[in-house]
Amino acid sequence: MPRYSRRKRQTPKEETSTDKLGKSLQTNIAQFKQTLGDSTDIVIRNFKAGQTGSMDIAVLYTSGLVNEAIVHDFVLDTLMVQIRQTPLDTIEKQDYQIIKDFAMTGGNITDIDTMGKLFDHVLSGDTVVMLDGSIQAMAIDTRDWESRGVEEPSTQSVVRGPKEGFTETLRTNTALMRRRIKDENLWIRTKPIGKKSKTDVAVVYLNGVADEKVVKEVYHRLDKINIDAILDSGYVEELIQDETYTPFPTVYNSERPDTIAAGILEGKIAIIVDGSPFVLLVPALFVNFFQAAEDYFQRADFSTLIRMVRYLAFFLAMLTPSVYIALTTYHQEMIPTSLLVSLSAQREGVPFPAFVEALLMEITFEILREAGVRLPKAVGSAISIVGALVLGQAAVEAGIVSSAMVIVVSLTAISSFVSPSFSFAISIRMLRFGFMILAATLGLFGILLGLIILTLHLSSLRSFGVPYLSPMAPFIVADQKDAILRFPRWKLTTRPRLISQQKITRENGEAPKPPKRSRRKKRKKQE
Amino acid sequence: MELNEKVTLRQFNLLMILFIIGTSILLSPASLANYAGNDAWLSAILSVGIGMIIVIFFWMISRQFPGSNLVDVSEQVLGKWIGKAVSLMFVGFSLLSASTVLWVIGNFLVTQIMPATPMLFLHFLLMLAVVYGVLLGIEVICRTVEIFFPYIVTLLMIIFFFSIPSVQIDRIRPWLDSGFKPVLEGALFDVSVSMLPLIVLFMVYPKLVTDKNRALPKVLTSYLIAGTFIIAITFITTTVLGVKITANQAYPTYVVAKSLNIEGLIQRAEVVIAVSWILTIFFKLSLYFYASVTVLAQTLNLKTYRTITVPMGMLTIALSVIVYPSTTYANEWNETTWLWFALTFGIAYPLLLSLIAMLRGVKGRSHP
Amino acid sequence: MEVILLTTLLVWAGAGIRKLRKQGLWKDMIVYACLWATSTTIITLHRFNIPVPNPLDGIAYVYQPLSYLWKQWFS
Repeated sequence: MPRYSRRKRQTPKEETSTDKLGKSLQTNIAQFKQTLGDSTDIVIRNFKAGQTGSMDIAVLYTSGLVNEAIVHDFVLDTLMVQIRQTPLDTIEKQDYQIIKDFAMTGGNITDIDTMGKLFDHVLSGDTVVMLDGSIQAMAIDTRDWESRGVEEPSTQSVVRGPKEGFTETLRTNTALMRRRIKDENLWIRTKPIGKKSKTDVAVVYLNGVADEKVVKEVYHRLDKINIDAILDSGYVEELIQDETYTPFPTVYNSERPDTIAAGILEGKIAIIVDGSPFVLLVPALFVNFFQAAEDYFQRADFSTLIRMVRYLAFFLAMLTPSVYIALTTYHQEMIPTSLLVSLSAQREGVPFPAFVEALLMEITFEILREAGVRLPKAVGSAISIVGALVLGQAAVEAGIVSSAMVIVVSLTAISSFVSPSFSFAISIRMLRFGFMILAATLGLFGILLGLIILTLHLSSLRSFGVPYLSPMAPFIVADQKDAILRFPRWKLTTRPRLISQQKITRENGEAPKPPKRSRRKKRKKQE
Repeated sequence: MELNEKVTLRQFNLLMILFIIGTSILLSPASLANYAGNDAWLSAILSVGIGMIIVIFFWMISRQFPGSNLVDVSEQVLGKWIGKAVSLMFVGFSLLSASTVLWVIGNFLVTQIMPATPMLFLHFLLMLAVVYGVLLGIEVICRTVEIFFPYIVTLLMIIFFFSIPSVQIDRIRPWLDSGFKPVLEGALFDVSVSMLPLIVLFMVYPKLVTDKNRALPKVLTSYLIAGTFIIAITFITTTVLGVKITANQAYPTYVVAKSLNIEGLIQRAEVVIAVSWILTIFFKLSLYFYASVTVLAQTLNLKTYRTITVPMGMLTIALSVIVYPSTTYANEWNETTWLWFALTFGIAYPLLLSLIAMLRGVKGRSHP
Repeated sequence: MEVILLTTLLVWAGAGIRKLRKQGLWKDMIVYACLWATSTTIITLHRFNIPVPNPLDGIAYVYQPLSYLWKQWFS
């Protein structure tokens, strides 16, 4: 379960109960206790205050969610010690207002008048002060809990570039955003989603840059969510994506603040979910899943090359086993003779057809990978030894698979790790099996047929109204500068056309120029 | 009818290019060499010239009836019932074209690539992709065209480029030794195969293409690109293989690609031509099929064409297995009847519509 | 094999017709059923090698005079 740290106030939504608070403190507390079932983490401190001790006051908070020092120093100390000399009950029953206005030293105080709000505040880490005879209670922001600090993200690591990653705490994450974009147009709006969990979900975008229709659509889809709990941004992603039945992700997610900030600057909309270090970014396009953060921190020519390698790896990961199957089963004449001879020599002792062989190896590899991901780290090395030695070498030596197939499978495996986005790599893994079946039944024609259907499917996808394959289809010349290629930074002067409909221009692009020769000469002369 | 689909002029042009070179790239050289002998390439140039006039003619028709597609025009000009009857005949035309195209590609696959597979099965699989594409809509098909177009062009360019060393001009000399008539005959046949069917684009262009200002030069340019492909492929096949072999082969381009062998660099290039051809013909088939489905749906005033797409696909498969009993029959029919069939719907039909409209003073709906 | 094929086609058609009937699209349903019936008949007849009239023959017949002229002119 996620751990938490200090965050600012959000007004919790009235949901649980709209019962008004009663005048009698004891009744209120009794009801409060009963509803919570005497939960042990709730602290209820009941005491007398004022000069004569006639004022009945209760302080309620959840232990572990509050900063106990603050509660002691600024709430309990104030009420029990510092206002001891004030004649509270003598002033015409305005105690509540007086305490709130003159005594409480907390930074952020909210009035509460219903039971529902009372629960919301207490359970989200506020300290509530209730006075006998008052139908209002005050909630003081004392939220502070154990949390993971800002660490290097475990996914999408870079060689060069910022190493901060999002954490599980919403406020830390929004702060990371603010630190990168100090523009007054960076709007952050939060609303709780989930009937039971009441998870805060923040929508972050650059007002005036993000397409208003998309912003509205995001709010609309978030409003439509009707679920009892949101435990990770994956929940939100699944509930707001355009198409459920597609192997491709239409929502981008990242642990890196710089990636998300770059997306926001392009006019995209980020969705931060409390309790998840993975921030969502919409609209997400096909090309986005091939853009790594580092592309923008390295030289343009190098980044372009690397991007092309990624696309190549995408096709390799998807098609290598199926092409191997098709070639060895149906189109042997296409393999150069010398290679064919050595291939058939290897395959001589193998009892299975190429398809079964490939399926066997691919499934084995998927099992290995899954085991490697879930196992404790210490066992991981054992798994890799088993995988490499036993399943690779020994399987070949035992004549179960040919060594060419081992090469094919390892090539596929390595290629599938190249994609900077893990969620995209999953879709390639799934499609691979479909292509293998097509290749086994129809050969290369099957693969081509599969590619046609796949492209049709991809062309039909949209992410929040933006065609998934743009800027390739529909082809947009201006956006080619940051799709497969990555142009020099001073040429990246416009935002993607379909994502940000307004304020297309980003900056005045001018190529860096060395100082002019003649001037340099002049300077020398002057010297 | 769904009208919220949008096609950009660029997408439309790419679709047109693929539609023109669709079947021609593999079949035209043989028939042209058959008709015109040494002058096959002249015939191709002539056909592109004639085709240009046809494209301009089509453009004028589309200007005459802005914003109305073929079915609208027929009903406006010929009245409700005659218009509907003619539209149904047009459904027959495009459906039969779709089935013949399906047969052609099935025949190619069965004879050249996968002899063991039953033809019906292949037709079914291909139609599955086509029906899926049409169900997703013409906009999606056009986007797919945009994705595949660079690959198709690159693949064809590879073939062109690497066959240049084997080109021998002597093989097509002397020029015009049997007069001009065969050249014209070949050209007319090629026009009927490649350009006249462009009439089905009338189901796409008037209503769905969004940016039509100064469309003609762009459309003509892309038409010429397609024409260049046909001329180039005819020239290359006849000069590399010789006229006789080209005329006798069912798929001369495929044979050229097979004969390419630049040691260590390119070998077995016929896969390249097969891939690009399957792709182009897929789009040609999709367009024919899309036209037949939408014309039928619009004629019968169906709310959406999507409901009848699947059974129409089934019908196309059914027709494709009976239309051509054999290759000989196919060649004979194409040479004797196809020209007239295509002329009727490709030229006579729009021309008549245009003339009657002028006489009756009917104008197309104003542009939405 | 033929039986399986035919059953699949019929089940497929039945599912489609039921869906259309539920939506109340009567015209679509009739067109749908007609098209299915035609195509299923053609495919079945073809599978059993019963000759099906080829529509192309009919078209060829219509255009016979024209193609005759054409041949005369070019020979």
